[in-house]
Amino acid sequence: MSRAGEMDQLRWTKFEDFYSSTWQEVYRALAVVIRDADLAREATDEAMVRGYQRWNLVQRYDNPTGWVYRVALNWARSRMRRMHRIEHRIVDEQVDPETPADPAIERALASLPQHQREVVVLHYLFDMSGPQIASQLGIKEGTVRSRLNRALASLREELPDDL
Amino acid sequence: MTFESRIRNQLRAELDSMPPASGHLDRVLARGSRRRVSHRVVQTVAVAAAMVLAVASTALVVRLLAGPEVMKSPTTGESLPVISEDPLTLQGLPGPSPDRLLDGSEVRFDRIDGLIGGEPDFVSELGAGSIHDVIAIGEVQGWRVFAVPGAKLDLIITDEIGRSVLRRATGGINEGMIVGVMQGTFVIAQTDPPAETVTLIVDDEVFWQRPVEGVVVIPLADFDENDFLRLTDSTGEVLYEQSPTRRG
Repeated sequence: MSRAGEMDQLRWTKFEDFYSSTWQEVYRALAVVIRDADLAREATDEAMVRGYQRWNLVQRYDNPTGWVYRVALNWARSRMRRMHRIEHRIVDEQVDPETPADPAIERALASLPQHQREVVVLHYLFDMSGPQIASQLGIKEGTVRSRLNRALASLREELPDDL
Repeated sequence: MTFESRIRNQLRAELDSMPPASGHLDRVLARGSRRRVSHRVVQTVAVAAAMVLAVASTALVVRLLAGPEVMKSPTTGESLPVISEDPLTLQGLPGPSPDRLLDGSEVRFDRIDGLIGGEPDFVSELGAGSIHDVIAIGEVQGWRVFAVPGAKLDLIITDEIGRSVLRRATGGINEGMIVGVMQGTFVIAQTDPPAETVTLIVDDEVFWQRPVEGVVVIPLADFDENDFLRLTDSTGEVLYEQSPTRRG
Protein backbone atom coordinates (compact mmCIF):
# COMPACT_ATOMS: atom_id res chain seq x y z
CA MET A 1 0.00 0.00 0.00
CA SER A 2 1.27 3.47 -0.83
CA ARG A 3 2.03 5.93 1.95
CA ALA A 4 -0.97 7.99 0.96
CA GLY A 5 -3.06 4.87 1.08
CA GLU A 6 -1.74 4.00 4.49
CA MET A 7 -2.52 7.46 5.77
CA ASP A 8 -6.00 7.31 4.32
CA GLN A 9 -6.58 3.95 5.93
CA LEU A 10 -5.35 5.27 9.26
CA ARG A 11 -7.66 8.23 9.13
CA TRP A 12 -10.56 6.11 7.94
CA THR A 13 -10.12 3.75 10.85
CA LYS A 14 -9.99 6.54 13.37
CA PHE A 15 -12.96 8.31 11.92
CA GLU A 16 -14.87 5.06 11.92
CA ASP A 17 -14.14 4.63 15.60
CA PHE A 18 -15.15 8.17 16.29
CA TYR A 19 -18.30 7.78 14.27
CA SER A 20 -19.30 4.55 15.97
CA SER A 21 -18.79 5.92 19.43
CA THR A 22 -20.38 9.33 19.02
CA TRP A 23 -23.13 9.21 16.42
CA GLN A 24 -25.80 8.06 18.83
CA GLU A 25 -24.75 10.54 21.48
CA VAL A 26 -24.93 13.48 19.11
CA TYR A 27 -28.17 12.31 17.56
CA ARG A 28 -29.91 11.76 20.87
CA ALA A 29 -28.90 15.08 22.35
CA LEU A 30 -29.86 16.90 19.20
CA ALA A 31 -33.17 15.10 18.87
CA VAL A 32 -34.25 16.21 22.31
CA VAL A 33 -33.01 19.75 21.85
CA ILE A 34 -34.71 20.38 18.53
CA ARG A 35 -37.55 17.92 19.11
CA ASP A 36 -37.36 16.50 15.65
CA ALA A 37 -35.85 13.06 15.26
CA ASP A 38 -35.72 13.10 11.46
CA LEU A 39 -34.00 16.46 11.32
CA ALA A 40 -31.63 15.40 14.09
CA ARG A 41 -30.65 12.29 12.18
CA GLU A 42 -30.07 14.27 9.00
CA ALA A 43 -28.14 16.98 10.82
CA THR A 44 -25.94 14.42 12.58
CA ASP A 45 -25.11 12.78 9.30
CA GLU A 46 -24.37 16.14 7.74
CA ALA A 47 -22.08 17.08 10.61
CA MET A 48 -20.34 13.73 10.36
CA VAL A 49 -19.74 14.31 6.67
CA ARG A 50 -18.10 17.62 7.48
CA GLY A 51 -16.12 15.98 10.24
CA TYR A 52 -14.92 13.30 7.86
CA GLN A 53 -13.88 15.91 5.32
CA ARG A 54 -11.74 17.67 7.90
CA TRP A 55 -10.87 14.71 10.02
CA ASN A 56 -7.17 15.54 10.05
CA LEU A 57 -8.06 18.81 11.73
CA VAL A 58 -11.09 17.77 13.77
CA GLN A 59 -9.40 14.81 15.40
CA ARG A 60 -6.91 17.19 16.99
CA TYR A 61 -9.58 19.30 18.62
CA ASP A 62 -10.06 19.02 22.36
CA ASN A 63 -13.62 17.94 21.89
CA PRO A 64 -14.39 16.54 18.43
CA THR A 65 -17.78 15.38 19.64
CA GLY A 66 -18.65 18.89 20.71
CA TRP A 67 -17.55 20.15 17.33
CA VAL A 68 -19.80 17.68 15.54
CA TYR A 69 -22.66 18.53 17.86
CA ARG A 70 -22.31 22.24 17.20
CA VAL A 71 -22.10 21.73 13.46
CA ALA A 72 -25.16 19.51 13.57
CA LEU A 73 -27.07 21.96 15.71
CA ASN A 74 -26.20 24.91 13.52
CA TRP A 75 -27.09 23.01 10.41
CA ALA A 76 -30.41 22.02 11.93
CA ARG A 77 -31.06 25.61 12.97
CA SER A 78 -30.44 26.85 9.47
CA ARG A 79 -32.76 24.24 8.11
CA MET A 80 -35.42 25.12 10.64
CA ARG A 81 -35.17 28.80 9.82
CA ARG A 82 -35.73 28.05 6.19
CA MET A 83 -38.65 25.89 7.06
CA HIS A 84 -40.03 28.45 9.48
CA ARG A 85 -43.53 28.60 8.14
CA ILE A 86 -43.85 24.95 7.33
CA GLU A 87 -42.35 24.01 10.65
CA HIS A 88 -45.02 25.92 12.49
CA ARG A 89 -47.72 24.07 10.64
CA ILE A 90 -46.12 20.71 11.34
CA VAL A 91 -45.62 21.44 15.01
CA ASP A 92 -49.19 22.64 15.31
CA GLU A 93 -50.43 19.44 13.77
CA GLN A 94 -48.24 17.19 15.88
CA VAL A 95 -49.08 18.58 19.27
CA ASP A 96 -51.24 16.19 21.19
CA PRO A 97 -52.12 17.68 24.54
CA GLU A 98 -53.56 14.46 25.89
CA THR A 99 -50.56 12.21 25.70
CA PRO A 100 -47.74 13.83 27.65
CA ALA A 101 -47.23 12.51 31.14
CA ASP A 102 -46.41 15.93 32.49
CA PRO A 103 -48.01 18.40 30.12
CA ALA A 104 -47.23 21.47 32.19
CA ILE A 105 -43.52 20.83 32.29
CA GLU A 106 -43.53 19.71 28.69
CA ARG A 107 -45.13 22.97 27.63
CA ALA A 108 -42.75 24.96 29.78
CA LEU A 109 -39.71 23.18 28.37
CA ALA A 110 -40.99 23.54 24.83
CA SER A 111 -41.43 27.26 25.29
CA LEU A 112 -37.78 27.82 26.18
CA PRO A 113 -35.60 29.46 23.56
CA GLN A 114 -33.52 26.83 21.88
CA HIS A 115 -30.21 27.99 23.31
CA GLN A 116 -31.64 27.68 26.82
CA ARG A 117 -33.27 24.37 26.09
CA GLU A 118 -30.03 22.85 24.84
CA VAL A 119 -28.26 23.79 28.06
CA VAL A 120 -31.08 22.31 30.11
CA VAL A 121 -31.03 19.12 28.04
CA LEU A 122 -27.30 18.65 28.31
CA HIS A 123 -27.33 19.33 32.04
CA TYR A 124 -30.39 17.44 33.18
CA LEU A 125 -30.63 14.69 30.61
CA PHE A 126 -26.99 14.00 29.89
CA ASP A 127 -25.69 15.03 33.31
CA MET A 128 -23.04 17.29 31.88
CA SER A 129 -21.26 19.77 34.09
CA GLY A 130 -20.93 23.45 33.28
CA PRO A 131 -17.43 23.07 31.82
CA GLN A 132 -18.51 20.07 29.79
CA ILE A 133 -21.48 21.95 28.34
CA ALA A 134 -19.30 24.95 27.61
CA SER A 135 -16.89 22.72 25.74
CA GLN A 136 -19.67 20.93 23.91
CA LEU A 137 -21.35 24.12 22.77
CA GLY A 138 -18.26 26.22 22.32
CA ILE A 139 -19.43 28.90 24.72
CA LYS A 140 -18.11 30.28 27.98
CA GLU A 141 -18.95 28.68 31.30
CA GLY A 142 -20.50 31.94 32.42
CA THR A 143 -22.80 31.83 29.45
CA VAL A 144 -23.78 28.29 30.35
CA ARG A 145 -24.62 29.39 33.88
CA SER A 146 -26.61 32.41 32.77
CA ARG A 147 -28.57 30.41 30.21
CA LEU A 148 -29.31 27.71 32.73
CA ASN A 149 -30.38 30.24 35.33
CA ARG A 150 -32.63 32.02 32.89
CA ALA A 151 -34.12 28.76 31.76
CA LEU A 152 -34.85 27.68 35.31
CA ALA A 153 -36.30 31.07 36.12
CA SER A 154 -38.61 30.79 33.12
CA LEU A 155 -39.61 27.27 34.07
CA ARG A 156 -40.37 28.29 37.63
CA GLU A 157 -42.44 31.15 36.34
CA GLU A 158 -44.37 28.77 34.14
CA LEU A 159 -44.74 26.26 36.94
CA PRO A 160 -45.59 28.30 40.02
CA ASP A 161 -46.57 25.18 41.97
CA ASP A 162 -42.92 24.25 42.15
CA LEU A 163 -41.79 27.43 43.78
CA MET B 1 -41.13 15.06 43.16
CA THR B 2 -38.70 17.93 43.03
CA PHE B 3 -38.69 20.57 40.40
CA GLU B 4 -35.46 19.29 38.90
CA SER B 5 -36.71 15.70 38.95
CA ARG B 6 -39.71 16.75 36.93
CA ILE B 7 -37.42 18.32 34.36
CA ARG B 8 -35.28 15.21 34.20
CA ASN B 9 -38.23 12.89 33.90
CA GLN B 10 -39.83 14.93 31.19
CA LEU B 11 -36.64 15.07 29.16
CA ARG B 12 -36.12 11.34 29.58
CA ALA B 13 -39.67 10.78 28.38
CA GLU B 14 -39.01 12.94 25.35
CA LEU B 15 -35.79 11.07 24.66
CA ASP B 16 -37.58 7.74 24.94
CA SER B 17 -40.25 8.95 22.57
CA MET B 18 -37.69 9.66 19.86
CA PRO B 19 -37.56 6.85 17.33
CA PRO B 20 -34.34 4.87 17.44
CA ALA B 21 -31.94 5.74 14.70
CA SER B 22 -28.58 4.68 13.50
CA GLY B 23 -26.10 6.38 11.30
CA HIS B 24 -24.85 4.98 8.06
CA LEU B 25 -21.12 5.29 7.96
CA ASP B 26 -20.88 4.16 4.35
CA ARG B 27 -23.18 6.92 3.24
CA VAL B 28 -21.29 9.51 5.24
CA LEU B 29 -17.98 8.46 3.75
CA ALA B 30 -19.44 8.40 0.26
CA ARG B 31 -20.99 11.85 0.65
CA GLY B 32 -17.78 13.20 2.15
CA SER B 33 -15.69 11.89 -0.70
CA ARG B 34 -17.99 13.29 -3.37
CA ARG B 35 -18.19 16.63 -1.64
CA ARG B 36 -14.44 16.98 -1.34
CA VAL B 37 -14.21 17.07 -5.09
CA SER B 38 -17.08 19.49 -5.60
CA HIS B 39 -15.85 21.57 -2.67
CA ARG B 40 -12.61 22.37 -4.42
CA VAL B 41 -14.44 23.43 -7.55
CA VAL B 42 -16.92 25.59 -5.68
CA GLN B 43 -14.25 27.17 -3.53
CA THR B 44 -12.14 28.02 -6.51
CA VAL B 45 -15.11 29.61 -8.23
CA ALA B 46 -16.12 31.44 -5.07
CA VAL B 47 -12.70 32.91 -4.47
CA ALA B 48 -12.38 33.89 -8.12
CA ALA B 49 -15.79 35.57 -8.01
CA ALA B 50 -14.87 37.42 -4.85
CA MET B 51 -11.63 38.59 -6.35
CA VAL B 52 -13.55 40.05 -9.26
CA LEU B 53 -15.75 41.88 -6.82
CA ALA B 54 -12.78 43.09 -4.83
CA VAL B 55 -11.25 44.61 -7.93
CA ALA B 56 -14.52 46.33 -8.76
CA SER B 57 -14.97 47.77 -5.32
CA THR B 58 -13.36 51.00 -4.21
CA ALA B 59 -13.48 50.73 -0.44
CA LEU B 60 -12.00 47.47 0.55
CA VAL B 61 -9.25 48.55 2.84
CA VAL B 62 -8.82 46.50 5.93
CA ARG B 63 -6.17 46.37 8.59
CA LEU B 64 -6.34 42.91 9.94
CA LEU B 65 -2.94 42.43 11.39
CA ALA B 66 -0.33 44.71 12.75
CA GLY B 67 2.70 45.20 10.59
CA PRO B 68 1.71 43.16 7.61
CA GLU B 69 3.44 43.09 4.33
CA VAL B 70 2.01 45.72 2.04
CA MET B 71 0.63 45.57 -1.45
CA LYS B 72 -1.01 48.14 -3.68
CA SER B 73 -4.74 48.03 -4.17
CA PRO B 74 -5.48 47.31 -7.79
CA THR B 75 -8.27 49.87 -7.76
CA THR B 76 -7.29 52.70 -5.45
CA GLY B 77 -3.52 52.39 -5.34
CA GLU B 78 -3.66 52.39 -1.56
CA SER B 79 -1.33 50.24 0.43
CA LEU B 80 -3.09 47.18 1.69
CA PRO B 81 -1.97 44.51 4.06
CA VAL B 82 -1.13 41.17 2.66
CA ILE B 83 -2.25 38.56 5.05
CA SER B 84 -0.41 35.74 3.50
CA GLU B 85 0.87 34.61 0.19
CA ASP B 86 -1.21 31.56 0.74
CA PRO B 87 -4.60 31.40 2.34
CA LEU B 88 -4.16 31.56 6.07
CA THR B 89 -6.44 29.99 8.57
CA LEU B 90 -7.58 31.93 11.58
CA GLN B 91 -5.32 29.95 13.83
CA GLY B 92 -2.89 32.22 15.52
CA LEU B 93 -5.17 35.21 15.41
CA PRO B 94 -6.86 36.51 18.53
CA GLY B 95 -10.14 34.91 19.31
CA PRO B 96 -11.50 31.43 19.53
CA SER B 97 -10.35 28.65 17.32
CA PRO B 98 -11.69 28.43 13.80
CA ASP B 99 -14.15 25.72 14.54
CA ARG B 100 -15.76 27.77 17.27
CA LEU B 101 -15.85 30.81 15.13
CA LEU B 102 -17.37 29.40 12.12
CA ASP B 103 -19.67 26.57 12.89
CA GLY B 104 -17.27 24.04 11.57
CA SER B 105 -16.36 25.79 8.39
CA GLU B 106 -12.75 25.97 7.49
CA VAL B 107 -12.13 29.65 7.08
CA ARG B 108 -9.39 31.23 5.14
CA PHE B 109 -8.11 34.71 4.81
CA ASP B 110 -7.28 35.38 1.25
CA ARG B 111 -4.83 38.01 0.29
CA ILE B 112 -7.12 40.39 -1.50
CA ASP B 113 -8.03 43.30 0.72
CA GLY B 114 -8.96 41.32 3.75
CA LEU B 115 -11.43 39.30 1.84
CA ILE B 116 -12.70 36.37 3.72
CA GLY B 117 -13.65 33.41 1.70
CA GLY B 118 -14.73 30.17 3.13
CA GLU B 119 -15.85 26.70 2.72
CA PRO B 120 -17.53 26.21 0.41
CA ASP B 121 -20.36 28.50 0.31
CA PHE B 122 -19.68 32.02 1.32
CA VAL B 123 -17.78 35.03 0.24
CA SER B 124 -17.70 38.24 2.15
CA GLU B 125 -15.53 41.23 2.62
CA LEU B 126 -14.73 43.10 5.74
CA GLY B 127 -14.19 46.77 6.21
CA ALA B 128 -11.85 48.52 8.57
CA GLY B 129 -11.51 47.01 11.96
CA SER B 130 -9.49 44.63 13.96
CA ILE B 131 -10.24 40.99 14.24
CA HIS B 132 -11.44 40.11 17.70
CA ASP B 133 -13.80 37.45 16.71
CA VAL B 134 -15.63 36.34 13.67
CA ILE B 135 -19.18 35.22 13.66
CA ALA B 136 -21.44 33.72 11.14
CA ILE B 137 -24.26 36.08 10.46
CA GLY B 138 -26.26 34.09 8.08
CA GLU B 139 -26.60 31.59 5.38
CA VAL B 140 -28.25 32.52 2.18
CA GLN B 141 -28.91 30.17 -0.63
CA GLY B 142 -26.15 27.98 0.58
CA TRP B 143 -23.74 30.85 1.08
CA ARG B 144 -22.53 31.48 4.55
CA VAL B 145 -21.96 35.06 5.54
CA PHE B 146 -19.51 36.18 8.16
CA ALA B 147 -18.73 39.43 9.84
CA VAL B 148 -16.68 40.86 12.63
CA PRO B 149 -18.59 42.05 15.67
CA GLY B 150 -17.46 45.08 17.56
CA ALA B 151 -15.61 46.53 14.65
CA LYS B 152 -16.80 48.93 12.04
CA LEU B 153 -18.16 46.80 9.36
CA ASP B 154 -18.40 47.49 5.75
CA LEU B 155 -19.90 44.42 4.33
CA ILE B 156 -20.57 43.23 0.89
CA ILE B 157 -22.01 39.88 0.21
CA THR B 158 -21.92 38.38 -3.18
CA ASP B 159 -23.93 35.73 -4.84
CA GLU B 160 -22.58 32.68 -6.54
CA ILE B 161 -21.18 34.59 -9.48
CA GLY B 162 -19.79 37.51 -7.56
CA ARG B 163 -22.60 40.00 -7.94
CA SER B 164 -23.11 42.21 -4.95
CA VAL B 165 -26.47 41.34 -3.52
CA LEU B 166 -26.36 43.00 -0.14
CA ARG B 167 -26.29 46.70 0.48
CA ARG B 168 -23.38 47.88 2.52
CA ALA B 169 -23.99 48.21 6.19
CA THR B 170 -21.52 50.13 8.26
CA GLY B 171 -21.46 49.91 12.02
CA GLY B 172 -20.99 47.46 14.80
CA ILE B 173 -23.17 44.53 14.07
CA ASN B 174 -23.07 43.33 17.63
CA GLU B 175 -25.54 46.01 18.58
CA GLY B 176 -28.36 44.41 16.71
CA MET B 177 -29.38 45.48 13.30
CA ILE B 178 -30.77 44.30 10.10
CA VAL B 179 -27.77 43.53 8.03
CA GLY B 180 -29.48 43.50 4.76
CA VAL B 181 -31.87 42.08 2.30
CA MET B 182 -30.32 39.85 -0.24
CA GLN B 183 -31.85 37.87 -2.97
CA GLY B 184 -35.13 37.64 -1.25
CA THR B 185 -33.82 37.04 2.25
CA PHE B 186 -33.58 39.16 5.34
CA VAL B 187 -30.49 38.67 7.40
CA ILE B 188 -30.61 40.07 10.89
CA ALA B 189 -27.77 39.99 13.34
CA GLN B 190 -28.29 40.50 17.02
CA THR B 191 -26.54 40.01 20.28
CA ASP B 192 -27.06 37.37 22.87
CA PRO B 193 -28.88 38.15 25.09
CA PRO B 194 -31.33 39.81 22.79
CA ALA B 195 -31.69 43.52 23.01
CA GLU B 196 -34.36 44.12 20.49
CA THR B 197 -37.54 42.72 19.16
CA VAL B 198 -38.05 42.55 15.46
CA THR B 199 -41.49 42.26 14.00
CA LEU B 200 -42.44 41.09 10.56
CA ILE B 201 -45.85 42.27 9.48
CA VAL B 202 -47.54 40.65 6.53
CA ASP B 203 -50.63 42.34 5.21
CA ASP B 204 -51.09 44.26 8.43
CA GLU B 205 -50.93 41.14 10.56
CA VAL B 206 -47.99 40.31 12.78
CA PHE B 207 -46.49 37.24 11.22
CA TRP B 208 -43.37 36.95 13.29
CA GLN B 209 -42.23 38.80 16.35
CA ARG B 210 -39.53 37.93 18.78
CA PRO B 211 -36.28 39.04 20.30
CA VAL B 212 -33.55 38.35 17.84
CA GLU B 213 -30.63 36.29 18.95
CA GLY B 214 -27.69 35.33 16.89
CA VAL B 215 -28.79 35.52 13.35
CA VAL B 216 -32.19 35.26 11.87
CA VAL B 217 -32.70 34.62 8.23
CA ILE B 218 -36.19 35.16 6.95
CA PRO B 219 -36.67 33.81 3.47
CA LEU B 220 -38.76 36.26 1.55
CA ALA B 221 -39.25 33.50 -0.94
CA ASP B 222 -41.93 32.28 1.44
CA PHE B 223 -44.00 35.28 0.57
CA ASP B 224 -45.94 36.21 -2.45
CA GLU B 225 -45.06 39.32 -4.36
CA ASN B 226 -48.55 40.53 -3.63
CA ASP B 227 -47.94 40.37 0.12
CA PHE B 228 -47.38 43.64 1.88
CA LEU B 229 -44.36 43.10 4.10
CA ARG B 230 -42.97 45.37 6.73
CA LEU B 231 -40.12 44.60 9.08
CA THR B 232 -39.88 46.84 12.11
CA ASP B 233 -37.64 47.12 15.12
CA SER B 234 -38.80 47.45 18.72
CA THR B 235 -39.45 51.18 18.30
CA GLY B 236 -41.65 50.59 15.32
CA GLU B 237 -39.13 51.96 12.90
CA VAL B 238 -39.46 50.32 9.54
CA LEU B 239 -36.36 48.39 8.61
CA TYR B 240 -37.72 47.00 5.41
CA GLU B 241 -40.90 47.33 3.45
CA GLN B 242 -42.21 45.60 0.42
CA SER B 243 -45.37 46.85 -1.20
CA PRO B 244 -47.28 44.68 -3.65
CA THR B 245 -46.02 46.78 -6.53
CA ARG B 246 -42.44 47.42 -5.51
CA ARG B 247 -39.95 45.52 -3.45
CA GLY B 248 -38.23 47.40 -0.64
